[in-house]
Amino acid sequence: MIFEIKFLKERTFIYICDRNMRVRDENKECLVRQKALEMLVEKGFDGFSMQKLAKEANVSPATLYIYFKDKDDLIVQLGLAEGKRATELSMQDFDPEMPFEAGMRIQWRNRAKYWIEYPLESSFFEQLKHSPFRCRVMGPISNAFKEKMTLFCTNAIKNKELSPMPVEVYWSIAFSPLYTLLRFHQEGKSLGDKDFTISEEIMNQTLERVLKALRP
Amino acid sequence: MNVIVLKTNIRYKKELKAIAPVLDTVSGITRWNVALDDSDKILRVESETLGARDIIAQVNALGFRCEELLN
Repeated sequence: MIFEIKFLKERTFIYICDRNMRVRDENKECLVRQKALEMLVEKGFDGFSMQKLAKEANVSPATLYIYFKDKDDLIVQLGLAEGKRATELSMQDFDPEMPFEAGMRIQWRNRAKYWIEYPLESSFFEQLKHSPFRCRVMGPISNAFKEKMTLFCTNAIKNKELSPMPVEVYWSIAFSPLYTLLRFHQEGKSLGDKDFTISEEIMNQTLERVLKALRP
Repeated sequence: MNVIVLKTNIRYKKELKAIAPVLDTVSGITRWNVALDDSDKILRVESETLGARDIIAQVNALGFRCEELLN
């Protein structure tokens, strides 16, 4: 099986908002969320304020406070929406009952797809994970996602496709290499400032090593 | 549900502590909060029944200035 990812040559930002956003003026709220993401990724949490966002998004501060309680609430709301998007994407075409290798390939494809198709959003989500907002955003990540991933590993161990190991060890081997490659890709540079673009070949090569390390 | 957004001169946490017990008990206020990190010190109130004028009166009575921010 190959990775069915369209690798974007240019580092373009794709702006897609959730279609189920039916609160108040949808377009306006969508624009506000998008601008907020851009500003938060560019300037960080400290350099961000509701007043600055109002100016950038060309709306009144009062409008922002109708959508969100305050700055923290806005950041948490954006984070929750991103967590939902990331976990939903990672479950696409995935079934916890599938053979371990096939499941891992789909997980790698889906997780890479999220980073590559949503560069701004994934950067923001990473930023959140390393901030004091972590608990408020990571806590509510769906139980369904956690249960499916746990079941996938339990099955693989039972079928002797995966060595038993602590979950932290599993995750470090199974996904950290992928995220390292994706970070290189996002920076456009790897070790020693060498130009880098991720490819199916590089991903396949890395995944083969990962699978080898995880097998009993 | 009405959301009322007001600019105030509530500046410190201790001032917030002083007004909290009153706003908590005003019937008709479903939820409220003050964004002290905003330069406009925004008081945001959710209510089914009250309007901006009612809230302004409450806040003025507590000794703070308060005006509605319009969209």
